[in-house]
Amino acid sequence: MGQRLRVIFSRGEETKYLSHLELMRMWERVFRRAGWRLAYSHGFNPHPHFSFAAPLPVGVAGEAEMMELLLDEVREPAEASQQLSGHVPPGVGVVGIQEIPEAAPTMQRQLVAAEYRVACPASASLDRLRVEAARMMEAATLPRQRVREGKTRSYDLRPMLRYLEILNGTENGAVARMELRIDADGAGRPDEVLRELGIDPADCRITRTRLLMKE
Amino acid sequence: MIDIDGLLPRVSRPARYAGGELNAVHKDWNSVSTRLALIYPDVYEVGMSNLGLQILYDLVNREADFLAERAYAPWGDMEALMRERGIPLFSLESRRSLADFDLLGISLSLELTYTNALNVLDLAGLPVLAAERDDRFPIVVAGGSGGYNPEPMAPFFDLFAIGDGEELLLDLMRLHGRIKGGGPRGDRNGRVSRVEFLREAAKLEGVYVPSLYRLDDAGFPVPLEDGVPATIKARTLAKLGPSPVKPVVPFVEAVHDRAMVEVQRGCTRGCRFCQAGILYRPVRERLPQEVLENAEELIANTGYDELSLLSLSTADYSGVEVVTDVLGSQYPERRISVSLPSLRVDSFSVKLATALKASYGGGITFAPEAGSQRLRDVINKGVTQEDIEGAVEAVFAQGWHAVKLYFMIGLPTETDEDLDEIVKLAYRVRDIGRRHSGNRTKVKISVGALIPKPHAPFQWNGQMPYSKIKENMIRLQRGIRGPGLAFSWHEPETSVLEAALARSDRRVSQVILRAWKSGCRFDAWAEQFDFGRWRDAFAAEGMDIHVAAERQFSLEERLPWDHISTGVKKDFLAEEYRRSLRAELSPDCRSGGCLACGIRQSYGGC
Repeated sequence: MGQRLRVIFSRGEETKYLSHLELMRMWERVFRRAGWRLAYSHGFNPHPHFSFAAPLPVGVAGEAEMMELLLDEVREPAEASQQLSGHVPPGVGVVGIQEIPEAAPTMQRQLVAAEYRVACPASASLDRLRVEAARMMEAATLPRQRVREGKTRSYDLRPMLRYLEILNGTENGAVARMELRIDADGAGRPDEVLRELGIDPADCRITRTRLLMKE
Repeated sequence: MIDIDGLLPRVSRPARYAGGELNAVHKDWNSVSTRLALIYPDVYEVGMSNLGLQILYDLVNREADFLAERAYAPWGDMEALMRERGIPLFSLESRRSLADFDLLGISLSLELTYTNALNVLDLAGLPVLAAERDDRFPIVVAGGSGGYNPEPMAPFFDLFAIGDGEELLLDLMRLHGRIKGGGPRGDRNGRVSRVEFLREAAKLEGVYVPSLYRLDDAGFPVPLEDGVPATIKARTLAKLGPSPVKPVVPFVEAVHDRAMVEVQRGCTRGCRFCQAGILYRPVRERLPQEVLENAEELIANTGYDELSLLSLSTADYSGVEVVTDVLGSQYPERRISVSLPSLRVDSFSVKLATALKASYGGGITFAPEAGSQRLRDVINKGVTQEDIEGAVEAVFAQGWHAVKLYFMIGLPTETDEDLDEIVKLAYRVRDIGRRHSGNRTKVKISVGALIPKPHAPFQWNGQMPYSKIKENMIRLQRGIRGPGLAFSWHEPETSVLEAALARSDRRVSQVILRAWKSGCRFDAWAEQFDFGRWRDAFAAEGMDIHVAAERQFSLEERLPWDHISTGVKKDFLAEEYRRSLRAELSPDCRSGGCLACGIRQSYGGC
């Protein structure tokens, strides 16, 4: 008897700097502490069947991230959620657990977009950001270049940007809210949107607030 | 709380600095009398692998009136950013500047971290010289094996805690709390008089306070006042303390990222090059039942999938069969692997590894240390050709395909014939492997130069000259080549520096200071290590790095570390050195009778 479960979790300030690999290792330890019987792959170097809807970039917090795993046992989702909460490190929260039919498509295939909230630095003026955001939303294309492993790649940011708005923040800086497309070709990057807005992503606090699935 | 949000997005591996790990202890700063920062002067991943610091962190935080937090050396990118923005080095738990703590405890065990130790003090905003620190600054304590020759680092530390640190550190914190409590009531953030504290601390066994000594004409420390011991006796625990069973679990992969149980401290094999074998006498074991309970609690509290049974020679632990039988029958099916580091070179050790169904992905490592029987007798390794072949045979017969053999060169009396025996042994081992594993056989030969460390029987012996080390490495490299063989060596330059620092007196402290000022950091990291800069630093202080490393002491002369006593008599070490030159073996005193090393008298038992 096995089961496919989806864990909705958050990661806050203490854990937002973990790499994807570090986060996976953390979860393996969480499940071992919690005493869950994970299903392992066969072969020389067995590993648990974990999958993540979309890896979080280093430095980005998340409020409702999704991971799925296969169990060699069956657990009642609500109870499992509460039990798991007792075993996560301080910077991680279990938001909920859902049972997923084993034959359901992968999360990656259902994912269409992600929503972000960004606390901008106090030095960036609200009015200027609003002007920039309006320009970006009205533009037909937003050609940008990205350097990766020494290679420069040109691409259009505009199709990845579903919406962008600038709000008056509760702290001393503006807040940017945005929804970025995710598809088979890749995911829209919040840091690229911020650069196009004219601010340094390293000066911002970025949180992924929601993952949007096809429905 | 220091704001580091602006820094972390700009540095490599930011989780090193973010804290927030499982089992980290966050105490209320104002609820305790004495606050300690435990510091390992290397990067987080290295420092988090240190069991000694985990033990002390656990012990101190068990005390209601004390707190301990952690800090490590920031990597270069982080250091540059911190200096640029004027952010001091901070603890991971409360993110307070290290300068806010009462005591800084720095682990000093590797000479190659000495410049980092200075850098840590500087980044915390402390003058690196103890003489320039007044009562506003924390008291800086050194712990770890570096304290057994404290002179090279003496000007930078207020105090050296020498020997087993468990009781000693708590004694120091209690003393600090008592002196502080004598001050104005409620002034829990007040500083104690460091002169008063240090004078009282010097009365504790295992404490060396350099400022309470002067150097005589020959450069040896002499007490300045009554009550300060001329010889400092290392502190030794009668019995091992509790294992830390709820250690901090790092997010960033540590070098040793696993649960650790210390099954035994000390070793009686008596290898003559080995410093640890002298420093950690007598042997103290943990009961098998306790080891098993600790293992269970550790796995439950951490979620690790790997457990290591630590000691200097785990196969010599009297409970090893009981423990490996139980763990071997339970852990593999729970997907927890158990490893025994420092395996002895014999088939018994392989039997243990097999019982644990250990994976040893990279193959099993043995350390025959020398190629010829004569030279193995010189170093008192107590391993025969039959032991080696039996161990290797057993490894390949059990289905492993790889073996790694570690050797040392530059041993006393070594000749070219001894080196050629290493080459022959490599081929012999490959042949044994091929009978079982065919072309999949992999034999890795790793070679390092002897670093004659203080307090080991080889302490008098100068290191082999640098050019000769290189020549011999190349001789071995030329000999050991071909399918199924791999050869690697430790950089001779770092071994030279280790020897030059480890064997020197107070004068070398100026070299260390100069090297740090000239930019030396992370000397244990090959890509950061700059031998030229070190050579220049020695020269600028009127010294020669090679002379320092190669200095041959006479058995009669006073050694720079003679004021530190391990409890083992110098006569015993000298006799062991003489016996080594005659290639005479000495038995393991656990089975072969007492050799009168001195421990039985100095600690009333062993």
